Amino acid sequence: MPSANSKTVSQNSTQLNSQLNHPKNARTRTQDTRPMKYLPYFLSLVSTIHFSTASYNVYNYDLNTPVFTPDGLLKQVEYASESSSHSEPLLLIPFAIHRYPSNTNPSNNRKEHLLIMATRCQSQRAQSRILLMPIAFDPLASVERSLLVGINGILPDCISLLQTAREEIQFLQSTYGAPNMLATKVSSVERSRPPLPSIQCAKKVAHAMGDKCQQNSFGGGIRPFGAEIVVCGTDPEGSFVAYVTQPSGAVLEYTRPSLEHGKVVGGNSKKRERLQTILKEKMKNLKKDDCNKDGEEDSDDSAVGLIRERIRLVVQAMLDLYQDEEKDQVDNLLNEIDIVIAHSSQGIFRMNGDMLRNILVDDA
Amino acid sequence: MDSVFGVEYDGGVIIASDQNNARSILTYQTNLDKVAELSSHSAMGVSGPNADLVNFSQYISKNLALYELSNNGLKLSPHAQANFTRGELATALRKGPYQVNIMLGGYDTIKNQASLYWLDHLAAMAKVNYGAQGYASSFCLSIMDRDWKEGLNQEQAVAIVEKCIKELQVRFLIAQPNFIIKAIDKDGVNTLSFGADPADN
Repeated sequence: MPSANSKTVSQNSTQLNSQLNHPKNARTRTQDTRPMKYLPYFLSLVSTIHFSTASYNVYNYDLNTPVFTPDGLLKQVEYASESSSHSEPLLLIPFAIHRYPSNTNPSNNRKEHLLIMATRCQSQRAQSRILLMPIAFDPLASVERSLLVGINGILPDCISLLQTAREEIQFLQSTYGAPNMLATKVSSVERSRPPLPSIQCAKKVAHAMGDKCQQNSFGGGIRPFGAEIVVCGTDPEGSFVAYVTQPSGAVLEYTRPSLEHGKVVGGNSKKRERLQTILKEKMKNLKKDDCNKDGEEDSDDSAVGLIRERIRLVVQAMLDLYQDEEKDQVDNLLNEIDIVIAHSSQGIFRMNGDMLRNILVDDA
Repeated sequence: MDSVFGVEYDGGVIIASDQNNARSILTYQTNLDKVAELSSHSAMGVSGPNADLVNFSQYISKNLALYELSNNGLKLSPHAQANFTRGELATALRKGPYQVNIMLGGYDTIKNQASLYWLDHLAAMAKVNYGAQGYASSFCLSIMDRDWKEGLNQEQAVAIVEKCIKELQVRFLIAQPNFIIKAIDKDGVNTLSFGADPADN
């Protein structure tokens, strides 16, 4: 942006204008040759403009092109990525339950997919870090269908980015009709329980936020968003996919294989790695997702048992990470843990401290 | 002047339209295909001036193809396609309206469900089990009201459509000798029958 140049050009043209409109010239304007007299002056001015260099002006500091380091890094954006390390780590644990309601009729067998999203928040905080963004309201089922979103990083930046997400959701609703944004393999039995948002919706919302991050990653006086946002959607088979936006504008996609041992987003790198290893160890010892094959009658209890097991795992992992072992510290932790469970066809449930205590008590 | 109507059955949708291309007192051709294929599993019967018919149906079908290309092969469901189409009609309404009335039918391959939508040139939209656009509605809706029921199969739906065609050919002032009937089901869009081959030149 040749700011100094443009200033000099405009200044010179005003001088030129004043010269041409001089009263002396006005009298003789009818003569054709008169303007030609000034042509050499004009040409010389043009040539000087062409060869003059921009002078440094302190007021133009933000009109320069963005600053890359010699090794090709945008430092501000890299530093912004570190801002999510100041939040507590956010866990994503997907798992599946095979239901075999009747072993005589294999077509009734189905796999239910669940996702647990958990984090630790300060207990007095007004804003939870795991949010549900409503995308449709079905008056018949009277249940709100929502997008499961987790936020990391500088809180105001996250909230600002979520506004972009809302605008994208609104655009998708008005263009494609709201229910289309939902995952689609719904049997008529489950129609009363609305399914969760589809990958298409989650992906578009995540990419809209990513684009906004990228636009704001550098420019005249603006700073990158210091926020990482996790958006979850379900594919037609029901399994969960997570999209994580980065301050650089990139959107990372985590599908089932990469979420196998749980995924930790945010948190400083030490905590993140520790939590990842803790999760890996614990998940190895778990029973596999299958739920009573071999002729046993399917019961909800066993499915619930699997879910409780996973929740206990999450709480244990958090306890290990934060090394709160004494009883009142455990209580504190339970007050501060935020666990949300999303089921691919039955909706999203937020656990509170009492529910968690019941689950842990049963175990002990 | 165009007759466009559709009937939904269990596992698909039938869309039928006449094949006349006419303006004022002149018939240009009698083998026009007015049921435009939008995507692999959806089609819309369009009534209106030939210019808008061709322009609008190509515009929508190419936009749907663009969505598929931009989204790793993910297709829009018929519900989304209908809403998108309605949105385009609405945007154009106060700039330069498309004078088309549409019956849009599609089969959702993931939900395994067919759906039929009635769209207006004023960008009104309704999801219907059966419907008709234009003068055909005066003749055909009563037949469909009486004969349609939940859980039809394709033969029964085609029978209803043929009854409507016969009614139009007997009672409608404007002669419409040829009708084209298309079915949209899990195997895609198939032409069941036509009065005159649209491919003839």
